[in-house]
Amino acid sequence: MEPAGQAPPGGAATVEVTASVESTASVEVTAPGGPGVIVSDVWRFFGSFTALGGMSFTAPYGQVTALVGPNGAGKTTLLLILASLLKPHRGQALVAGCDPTVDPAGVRAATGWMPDAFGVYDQLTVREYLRFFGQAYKLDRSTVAARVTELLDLVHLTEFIDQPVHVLSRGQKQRLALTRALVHRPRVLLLDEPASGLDPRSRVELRDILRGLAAQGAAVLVSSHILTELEEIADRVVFVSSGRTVGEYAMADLRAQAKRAYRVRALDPDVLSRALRDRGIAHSTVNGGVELAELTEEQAAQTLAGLVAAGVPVVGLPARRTPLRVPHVLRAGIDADHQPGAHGADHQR
Amino acid sequence: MLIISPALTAQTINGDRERGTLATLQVTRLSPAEIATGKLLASWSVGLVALALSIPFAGYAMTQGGITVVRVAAVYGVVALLIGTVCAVSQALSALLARSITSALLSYVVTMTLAVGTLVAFALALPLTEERMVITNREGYQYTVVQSHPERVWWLLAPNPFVIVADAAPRVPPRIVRSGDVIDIENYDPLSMISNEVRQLRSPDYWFIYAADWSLRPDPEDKPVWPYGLAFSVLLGAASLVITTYRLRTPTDRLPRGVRVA
Ligand SMILES: Nc1ncnc2c1ncn2[C@@H]1O[C@H](COP(=O)(O)OP(=O)(O)OP(=O)(O)O)[C@@H](O)[C@H]1O
Ligand SMILES: [Mg+2]
Repeated sequence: MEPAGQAPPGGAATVEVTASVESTASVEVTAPGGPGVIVSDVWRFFGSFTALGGMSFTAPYGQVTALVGPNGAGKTTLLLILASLLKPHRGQALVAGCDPTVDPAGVRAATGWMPDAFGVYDQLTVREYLRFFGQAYKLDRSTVAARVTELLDLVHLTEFIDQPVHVLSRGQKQRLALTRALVHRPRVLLLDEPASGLDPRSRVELRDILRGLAAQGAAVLVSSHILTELEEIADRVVFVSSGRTVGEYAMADLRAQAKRAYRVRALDPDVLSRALRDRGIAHSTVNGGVELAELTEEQAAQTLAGLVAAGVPVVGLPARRTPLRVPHVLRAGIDADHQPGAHGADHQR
Repeated sequence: MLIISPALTAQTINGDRERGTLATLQVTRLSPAEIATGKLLASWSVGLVALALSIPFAGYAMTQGGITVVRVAAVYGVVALLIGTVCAVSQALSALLARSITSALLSYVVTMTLAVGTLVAFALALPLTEERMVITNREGYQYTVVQSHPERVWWLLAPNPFVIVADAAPRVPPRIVRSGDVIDIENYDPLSMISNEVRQLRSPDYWFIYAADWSLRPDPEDKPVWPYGLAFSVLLGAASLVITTYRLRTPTDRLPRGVRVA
């Protein structure tokens, strides 16, 4: 039952995954549209503590890039640097073509930032709050008014338009924070843990919103400490740990690499187990059903084709709903608590 | 006013940082100067509303006679400016210090220093100006007096908000009583009394020096103190605003210990 990901690192998967790091990285960097965010060897210290120790990655336009790492990995710190709030001590970042240290105004005009902590001004209503930020981004009045209606509609907060901001629930505040980050139509979006605190429906909506923005050409960078939270949102994943980048993947590759357990159902279980044994396919009998050892999607397809060709009356080959797992190479740096292992199923809906 | 203004402003920057609302402002296209000025105007105007609440009392006092509209307007104008200064100073402290409790306390300390500390400083400084003077009187007798020189340290009182307000208020037309050489200006309202006191400190009348020849004695001068005090206030306020602006600049290189940007 335990996914093979819990096994000690060093298996065949490690080799395969390492190989894919190089290929994905090079493909993405040269992708059309160019990167909205380029981070190259960025360092940041707090006193003697090294919060970022040489982080590098890119987030292209038109794609959602996930920044995944455990607590304290430096995700928030990096986003602060990209949002032109914090100076990097070494290395360079480029956001929408501007260096946040040299040209913060250029970065701000093109960037929407949503912090993980969300404070509000007590007395303002939702409408006033958004209008205030619209004006802070120097939009003219009529644009702001139209934008407020449009954005509240997008995040389904229209009915709260005249409510004071502080009465909103956490998830509603989170959605309001997203609209604030979007008010000036930024080309680059930096979102710090936008999915935390959202219910499943809101998460689906968040996914649709972010996918929509990426489809319109925005570069979206989203942080999280749970990979599964972003599995369906992101095109690319950047794994970070202890202030460094430990891997950069295309989500599709990761998904293809992922091994899942499959349950096979056949009209005649005996024929099925015989066929499996004949072929030397590892399997086990669990809860009265036959379960294959973990396979990639490709392997699963081959197995199925083989069984069907051998005349086994297969009814179905559902994958067990195990979430995406962080590749073995990264596991040394990433806290086991955030591994979608035993708890993983909770995150998957 | 001196009590509520620090309370209004002492958290505007670090309190906002603690609540996580400052950074969201800083990433907009608002410049640090705009944020600092906007926040200052906001807390200043709350202070002014509080001040406006006291207008009915002033109106009542006016109907009781003696106090002119011009006088009331001048007092209110000066008090309004002073509230602005206190707000600006508290805001700068709020931008400089990590904790809003610390900055609130410290702004009270600053306000108290202006209101009470200046008096104490003056009282302490005055004995230092003491000088032995040898006076020859009309009859040719010589005698020694120990004389302090408030005209050398009067400026210690100039920043005092009460002094500024009292001295800036236009005089109630004084009743001048002349009896021979002595001119007596009789003002019995508290503001004029304070004002007369500090003006005398600025140009004291050492009549006994002229004991030998009264004709040398200059006419008593009446030089106002409030322009200095008000200028000091305005400068202090402006400097505070500059400090706040400077502290709001981003990207930040160094953060105070225990402060997160967001
Ligand atoms: N202002 C600061 N002063 C001192 N240390 C800091 C400061 N900000 C961040 N750090 C440290 O830098 C490290 C990275 O912090 P950061 O907030 O970037 O982590 P994170 O990846 O966002 O974590 P989480 O998933 O918990 O949000 C942490 O160890 C943190 O203690
Ligand atoms: Mg964080």
